[in-house]
Amino acid sequence: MRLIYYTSLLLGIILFTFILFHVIPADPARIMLGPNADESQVKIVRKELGLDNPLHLQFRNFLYKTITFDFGRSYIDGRTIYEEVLSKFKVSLFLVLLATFFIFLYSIAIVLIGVRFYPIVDKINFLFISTPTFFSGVIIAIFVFLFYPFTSFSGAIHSIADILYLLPPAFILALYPMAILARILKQEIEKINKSTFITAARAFGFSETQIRLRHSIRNALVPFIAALSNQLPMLFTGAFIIEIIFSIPGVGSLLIKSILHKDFPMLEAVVILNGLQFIGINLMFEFLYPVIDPRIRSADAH
Amino acid sequence: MKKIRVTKSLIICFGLFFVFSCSKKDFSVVNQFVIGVSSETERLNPITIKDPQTYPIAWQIYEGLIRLNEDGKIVPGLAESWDTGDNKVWTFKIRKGVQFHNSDIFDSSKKTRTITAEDVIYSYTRFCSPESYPSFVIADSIKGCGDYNAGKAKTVEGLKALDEYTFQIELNKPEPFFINRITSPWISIFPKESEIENVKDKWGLIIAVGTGPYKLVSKTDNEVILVKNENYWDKNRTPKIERLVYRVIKNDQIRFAELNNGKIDLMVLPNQLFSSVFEQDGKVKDKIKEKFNFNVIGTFNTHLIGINMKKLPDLHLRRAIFYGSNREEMVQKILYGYGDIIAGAVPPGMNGYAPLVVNPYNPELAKQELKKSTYKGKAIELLVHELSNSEQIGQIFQKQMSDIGIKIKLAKVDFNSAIGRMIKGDAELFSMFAEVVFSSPEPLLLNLFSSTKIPAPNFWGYSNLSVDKKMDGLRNIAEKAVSVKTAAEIEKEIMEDVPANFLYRQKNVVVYSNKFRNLKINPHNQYMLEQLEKL
Repeated sequence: MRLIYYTSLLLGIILFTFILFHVIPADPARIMLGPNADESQVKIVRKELGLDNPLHLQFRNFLYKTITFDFGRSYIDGRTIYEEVLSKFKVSLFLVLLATFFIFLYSIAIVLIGVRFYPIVDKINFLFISTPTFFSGVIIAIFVFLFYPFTSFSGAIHSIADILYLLPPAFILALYPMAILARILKQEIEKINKSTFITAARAFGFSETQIRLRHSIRNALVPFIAALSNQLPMLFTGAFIIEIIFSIPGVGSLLIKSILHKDFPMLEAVVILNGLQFIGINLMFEFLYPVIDPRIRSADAH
Repeated sequence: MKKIRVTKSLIICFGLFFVFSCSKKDFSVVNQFVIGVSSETERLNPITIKDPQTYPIAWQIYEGLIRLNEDGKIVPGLAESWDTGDNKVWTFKIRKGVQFHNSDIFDSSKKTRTITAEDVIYSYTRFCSPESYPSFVIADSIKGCGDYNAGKAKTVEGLKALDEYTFQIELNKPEPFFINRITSPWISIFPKESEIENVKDKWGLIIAVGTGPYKLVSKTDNEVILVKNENYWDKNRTPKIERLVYRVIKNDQIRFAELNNGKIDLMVLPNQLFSSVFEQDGKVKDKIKEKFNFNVIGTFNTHLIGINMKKLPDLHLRRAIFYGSNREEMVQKILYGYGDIIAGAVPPGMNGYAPLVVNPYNPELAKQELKKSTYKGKAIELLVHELSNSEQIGQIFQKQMSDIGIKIKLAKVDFNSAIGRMIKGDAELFSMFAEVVFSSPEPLLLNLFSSTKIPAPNFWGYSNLSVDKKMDGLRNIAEKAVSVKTAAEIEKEIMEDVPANFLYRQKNVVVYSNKFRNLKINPHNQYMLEQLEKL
């Protein structure tokens, strides 16, 4: 059932992408050749790109190629799209993983510090949520470039210096989701701490740390993971501002560049990649829930 | 106890990791010059480059037959001499013994080879091909180039090799100033090996082979590294700097901060930063003057407001717009004075520029013209886009027009959509900029105003048969003084019809570290970095 749902979702994305980029009134051949080119030259290139074919034929070719992962070449510079997107995706994925690492770090800290620090945490969270990335990004970037020794990025993860370069942008990327998730986590823990089984645990003489680690966290984890599954896909698409501020060649910058140059095949590939990510992340979490929460496991079994 | 031990070892690990990674980083390259650029470098394929940021990089690698020196004079490049009898057939003597950069694309053990007339024919043919971006520079002139460009011929008829080192171009018609079309390094010479099956996909991405003073070492989206070409043919211009690094830093503020920190050595100052560098009167602030050298270069980068003559057929209204535009104010407000006012298409500094009207701003005249027109106060739409101060120009223009009684409505779209709408002819006014690539007025006027060039690049749809005829005749005038004068007269005639409202030619402000000297830049905006010296 789920497989049918996700397959149809993916097909929908492909169809939507195709229609979207074919109703936009822009001529990729003209963009490739610039304003000075002769109309006859533009016509030849339009033909070479297959843009003079009827729409249904173009869609058939597009669908066939998409299924075989052959997205063709970029209109702008003739790069192989599959390789291009893959190399950018690696960078973005790494950035998002680093950001997720920060999110976990912060969440663990929230759990460990205990309830009495929560008023301060509230204020920090408020700051993180209310500061837009384009502002915090530039401010932090200027400081980073002044005092941080790793200020050049080779374009891919080649060395430790590249990883260290990505730490500050990953941190900025993580600010908003980590504050949102920390708030959810904090509320859950506060709620759970008031429940009877925690009182019972205290009465049995368990230490506070034991209660926190064994009982509070495990129960707070499901809403936390659910919120994380919503935030993760957003990290990928939301990364573009950070990628531009820090000049990181990831999927976000690729997306913006392709939009500006009307590089439709590249855009189609990026949109489909985003769809795949979304589906992939959702599937992953659907498998994860039963592992964390035995109640979901038994409900599934019934 | 155990906990403390774990924490300690973690700290030590982290410290080691830090030291290790620091030592891996190469801080010690002495003789290099780092240039900060604001966008990712395009593919370094000579026939498809269109990004103004990428040209200066490509032009360190590739060279043309002839070139402009820093004063804008034509000097020999890969061709050591050229001549023509009838201005129709041009013969070039190719310099002997010039080698391409060594590369794996050449299969001999030497990994390089010398250039011959065959390479020149190959390159010129590629520039005529339909996929070529700068084909418009030569397609009208060279015999058969237009047909090849339109897919009607298999070869370009007008290109011939007389012997190994003699190359001949036959033109459609005699053109005394044909040479001005190819001074731009856009038309450069590259080897035919670029089309070998397994090179093709990497060409311009990780492989770029030319004959220039620098050769490509590596290229990623963030960094392009070039090193000195040890075998450069011109021994007087052997590069003094070993390595050029182009680093992409997209944010203007951060790029400027990096320049101040000494991590990059050169950047072109974007307008947004003028206020941090210049006083209101355009003088450089003292604390900046101490650390940096400044090169202010006049480019052929022309800004204009194009007029769709079909949508605005009223000549008096167009003249009112022309006289009502205060170009001086635009240059002061947007560029702190770093621009030249123009009233016609031919930019000052161009070989053959003859200024007709120095500053046409005359609000009284504009009001009189407006009275004569049929304009009833309907808002006219002006397309603006995100590049080259287009929106700022639009806002100032809007205010100036409202002062004389014309209502302007701004419509912001992205640059490519603006071009699309402009060519389609459904924009009334459009703010545009153009990087002029010719070094004489005649091909420029022909391209912009000949009726055969509608819709592109005659975006205004300007059609005037008498002007067409005169421009055709202009190609045949062999004497330079006469040609320049005639071009100026034709331009005046065109501008009386006001197909476009030319505003200013921007000057580039290049800021570079005072640890270096002798930065020379020619009017094509080509950086002659081979002459740069470290102090």
